Amino acid sequence: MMTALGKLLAGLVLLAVLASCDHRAPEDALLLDFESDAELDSLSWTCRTLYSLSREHATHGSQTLKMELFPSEAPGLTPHLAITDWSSFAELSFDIYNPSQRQYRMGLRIDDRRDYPDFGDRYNKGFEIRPGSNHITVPLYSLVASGANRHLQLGHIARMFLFLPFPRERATLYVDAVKLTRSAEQGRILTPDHQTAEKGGGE
Amino acid sequence: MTIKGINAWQRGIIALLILLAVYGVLIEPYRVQVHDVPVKDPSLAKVLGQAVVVQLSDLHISSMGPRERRVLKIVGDLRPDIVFLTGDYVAWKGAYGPALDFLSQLHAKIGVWAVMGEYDYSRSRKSCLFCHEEGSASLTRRHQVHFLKDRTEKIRLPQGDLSITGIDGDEEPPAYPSGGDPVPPGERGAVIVLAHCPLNFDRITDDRSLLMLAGDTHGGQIPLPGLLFRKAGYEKNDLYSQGLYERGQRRLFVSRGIGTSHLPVRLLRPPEVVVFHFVP
Repeated sequence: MMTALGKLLAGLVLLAVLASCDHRAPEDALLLDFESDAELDSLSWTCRTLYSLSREHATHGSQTLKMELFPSEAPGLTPHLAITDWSSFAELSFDIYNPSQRQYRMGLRIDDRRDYPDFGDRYNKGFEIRPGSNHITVPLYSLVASGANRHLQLGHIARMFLFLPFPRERATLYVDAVKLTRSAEQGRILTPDHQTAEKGGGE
Repeated sequence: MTIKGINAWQRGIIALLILLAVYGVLIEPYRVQVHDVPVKDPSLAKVLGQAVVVQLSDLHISSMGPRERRVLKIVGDLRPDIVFLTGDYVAWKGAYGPALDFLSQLHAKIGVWAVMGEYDYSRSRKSCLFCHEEGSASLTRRHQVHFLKDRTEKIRLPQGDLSITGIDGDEEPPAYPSGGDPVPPGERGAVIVLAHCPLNFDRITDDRSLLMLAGDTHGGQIPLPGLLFRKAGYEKNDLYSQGLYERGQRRLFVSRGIGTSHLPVRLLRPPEVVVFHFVP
């Protein structure tokens, strides 16, 4: 028969065991936050896009990526992906600040193969960038190849392109806090500050 | 008779290998030759028959050393009308300053046209310095080289027009590559195509008169059977190691280049400054 002291000790042991369990939510992964010059080296620099770090419009840390996009086919951002296994995440998100009064239509392309799949075999999505702050989230369950009813292999993401298709004049955009989140945010309101690109259709 | 278990034959072979290694590392990579190449092309002969046309390739410059100074001296003495450069000016992830210094000392009466190779993109951010001032969209004033990145320039010369197309050597294609024939179909007459990798020759599908200049292979740097290069993943060295190739009216010249990569050795593949002589 267990004494009161025994029960107390057993209770304490149980509490200790429970306390030792990690109840914290898994951490999100920050792909890019543009806080150091070294991050500029990790980008794929191509003609007609000029990158620099800026202290304006930062949403994470103190700096952001200033992209100057010149008239051409698809100027934009092609980051080196430090994390290619996205299977344990729920969303891709990033912030874009548009300092102009113009609304832009941007493109997001995501490949799950290294060998540059054709348009129909990769994720392609167009979305609006309104003047001011834009928080873009892409639920990863929606990453479907444009021309086939095929979900991208989230364990093998090869690259992402964030670009402005055929700008007719020079555009400047600020990008910050490109991250993968473990859980989808609930109750997001679709305002200029909170946009959601939800389906991987061919646009 | 043997000494320490090595007989005379073995000593002879070892001595020969040491001599070859010394020659291949210390001598031949610096024996820059002028390679005169006759090319039969009536259109190019009409437009460039009297011109001194020079090709340099695969410089792989780490510093402005004796080889680079020798090349500049040779090119200066040739007093070229046109210089074509077919990529790989820097070492892999190396410094870009020395290569830019070299380009700034390269001059031709009509102009210098160039494409970039995959080594030039090994530090993507620095690759912009070939065309732009640092941190700026302004074109560089450091040199006079016209870099052609998947585009064509038409040059008006006294004897006719010359079309120069440059196929970019970046192995990372753009987000929406256009694909297809890299030379605009309308380009006829005197047409020169610059490409770093000679495998681009296979991308030109129609039979029209043109000359493609390429490099990239270094001629293998040492003479080995093409099959060995193919097995090592260098199909280009098997198909187009060095020299002139013809397919219908299309011609490809592959320069063995000037610098070295992987190993700093050249054997029977000396660096070359190529001079073209166009004949009808």
